Amino acid sequence: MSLVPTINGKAMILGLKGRLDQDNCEVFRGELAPHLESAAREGLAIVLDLSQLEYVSSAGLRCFMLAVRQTKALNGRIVVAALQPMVAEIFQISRFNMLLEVFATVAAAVSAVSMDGFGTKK
Amino acid sequence: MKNQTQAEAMFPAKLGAWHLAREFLERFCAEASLARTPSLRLNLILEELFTNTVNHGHRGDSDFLIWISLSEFDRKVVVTYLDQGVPFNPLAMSKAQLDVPPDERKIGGLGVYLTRELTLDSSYAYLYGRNRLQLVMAV
Repeated sequence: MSLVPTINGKAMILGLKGRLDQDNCEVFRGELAPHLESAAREGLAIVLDLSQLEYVSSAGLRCFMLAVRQTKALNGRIVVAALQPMVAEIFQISRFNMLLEVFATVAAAVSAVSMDGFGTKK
Repeated sequence: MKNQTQAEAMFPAKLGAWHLAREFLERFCAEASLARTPSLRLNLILEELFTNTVNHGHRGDSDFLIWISLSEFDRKVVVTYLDQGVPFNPLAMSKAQLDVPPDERKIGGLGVYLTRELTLDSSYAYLYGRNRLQLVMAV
């Protein structure tokens, strides 16, 4: 899963594709970490675009939890958008929708983080 | 009336063998003409059981075996899963972790919880040196 950031307004959008499971969760964590730091440094919120993510297991959920903790430590913000049916179901069952702000679309997420004041360089 | 679809296979208890189990599962889902979302739910259940066996039942890769049997009929899939790990009934784990705010939860135990939530019925026995778990899920 190669993460290529797109900046839109006050958001850094990162798209996840395919699956997030025990086979690729460590690679994903390694790829995500520098983006979390760079977004926090630039005062951008991270928007994870999950529209192409078909599957997540508990190994993948752990990545999200660790990303949230890392983002909090950096005084940053991370949200998720456009969850596919299976991923949305797993978020609901595990109550990860209480851990991460969930938006129906990437546009809605970008709009929300931009209005809430992220984007001002620290 | 639609025929029953059945498949069974065994795999070494190694994380690197999970992709083989996944291929087996995907073939079964195709043969049983399962829709994508229930196929992914079934995939999650088996991934959680498989990684649990390797990581906790054997504390890492081993030469022990894991048996998986799948049977689909009447919009239900029955999973029979056997391993040779230490006696462990994942169905007996408590739900307590979910009452803790998500960002304060310990990391762990989530896979077992998801497995339980995605199944309609389940049973566990430890027989002849093997954990035997039977799960029923709607498809």
